[in-house]
Amino acid sequence: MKIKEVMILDLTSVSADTPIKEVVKIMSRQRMVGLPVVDNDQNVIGIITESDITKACLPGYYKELQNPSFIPDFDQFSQQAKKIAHLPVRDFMTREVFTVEEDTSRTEAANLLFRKRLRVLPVAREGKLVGILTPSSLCKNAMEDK
Amino acid sequence: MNQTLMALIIFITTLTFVSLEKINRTVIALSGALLFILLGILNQNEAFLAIDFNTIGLLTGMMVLVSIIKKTGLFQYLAIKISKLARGNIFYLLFFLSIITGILSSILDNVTTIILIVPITLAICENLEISPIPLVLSEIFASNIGGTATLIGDPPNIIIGSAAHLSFMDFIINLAPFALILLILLPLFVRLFYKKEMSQNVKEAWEKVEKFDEKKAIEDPILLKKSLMVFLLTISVFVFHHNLGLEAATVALAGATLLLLVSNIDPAETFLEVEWSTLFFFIGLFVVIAGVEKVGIIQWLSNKIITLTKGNLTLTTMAVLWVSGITCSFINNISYTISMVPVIHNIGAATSFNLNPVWWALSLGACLGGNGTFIAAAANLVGVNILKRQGKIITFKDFFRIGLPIMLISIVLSSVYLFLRYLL
Repeated sequence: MKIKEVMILDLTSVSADTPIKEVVKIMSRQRMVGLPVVDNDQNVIGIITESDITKACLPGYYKELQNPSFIPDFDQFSQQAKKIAHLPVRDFMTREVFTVEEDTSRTEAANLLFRKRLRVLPVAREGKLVGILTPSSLCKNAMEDK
Repeated sequence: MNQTLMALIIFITTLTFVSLEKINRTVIALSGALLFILLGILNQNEAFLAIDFNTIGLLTGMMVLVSIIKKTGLFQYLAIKISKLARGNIFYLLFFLSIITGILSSILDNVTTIILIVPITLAICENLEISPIPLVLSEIFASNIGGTATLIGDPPNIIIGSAAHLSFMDFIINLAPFALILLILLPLFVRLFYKKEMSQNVKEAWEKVEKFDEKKAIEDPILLKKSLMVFLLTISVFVFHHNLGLEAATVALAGATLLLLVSNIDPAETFLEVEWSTLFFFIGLFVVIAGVEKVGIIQWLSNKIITLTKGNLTLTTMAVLWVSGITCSFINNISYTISMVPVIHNIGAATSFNLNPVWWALSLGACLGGNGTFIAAAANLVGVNILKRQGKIITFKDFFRIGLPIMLISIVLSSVYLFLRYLL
């Protein structure tokens, strides 16, 4: 079976100029954990995930602390989140994107998803975004396999 | 090419590349060691015999102990608790954080101390909306000073202790009081350098720091109790290890084994945190120095020093102190100390000196020299890199402007201390 039979056809994507605030709204509305970032020709140029945004919301020192639980309030997180809300996606997206062509086999795509621990894998036709694949969509398909 | 020339070329090349840090220092040290064997200057047996397993064992034991204890959150707890004593005064904050860094650094390795303390400092500074640079720099300097205080505080001391059969208590009696004086003077000097930053008023923002709950930093209270008991027992045995006829490595490895036994932590997980690269760096260097010693270069250097200092103990001590301090501001202090150990042994054999002042001079010079430039010690680079990740850039020049005076003042004070205590 090819990926084109498994992929999610929802083509929700964002441009590199989209503010982070908008991205968070779209993710929350569409219940997505990550979105492909495309240029004007629908070429995938990056991926933005919840994890990228959460990391960006954390003050720098959080990443250095062994255990930040001694900090009692949410202020620092909130201040940092407000700071990045209007910044464009390009500042936070992952530029090294893995994509698969729609004719790729399920095994090959599953291998890529799980080995690279990807949350979203864009599917392309001749380089242009035509769908996405997520670990849950692949598992759902595998469970329904006859 | 004769063997002496070959040995000299390998030795200088090894030291140069180790200090440049363009290629991994362990690979360089092992390559140098291997060349000595392949060129026939040393045979394999001589190379293996050159490795000081007392140093390697002590380092390994302490790495295991510290890797388990740091998981408990104890060090973060201590740093937050002591910071609160500052009560909104930035200079007191600088003072207390520097003192705790120095004290922790006397029992932990300097890099671990910096990795644990600097992030807490950043959290405090961010909440107070002040620059962390003066505090972090002071902590870096304090870690190098604190390391001087004990046998286990800094690798040069481990090497010196093993080579000169100096005990844990010898270091405590001879170096710790002086290191404590330097540690107390350090924040006063840093304050002079950062007058503007130290005069900021943070009384209002201090409330946020007061809200830090240090108890939440403790991640595993049961492991903490077990770790503290074993650690205190290990330190107590260190105090008497020479009287008990135990080498330092035996004590450290026994402490590590006991903690593994009582904590029930998977040794495989703990051993992953042992810095094998550092241990093999030591191994490579021991072999390189054995090669240089075998062809007579060390003997030649020792004779030169005796001639230049006219066999005078005061001159020899001061020469070792100053050369070590200045050299270790630019080259790695581990390779320097391993090179100097046989030189000092030879000086001792050729003269009737009581070598102790010379060993203390080597320790003070090698450890305090680490404050001269940011390339001089691993803790400096780690601290500066943490700041860099927060967008605070410290250039070589920025560090040098404050590091060099601190190094020079500490070496001047060391000269006075050594002279008054041992040479008068």
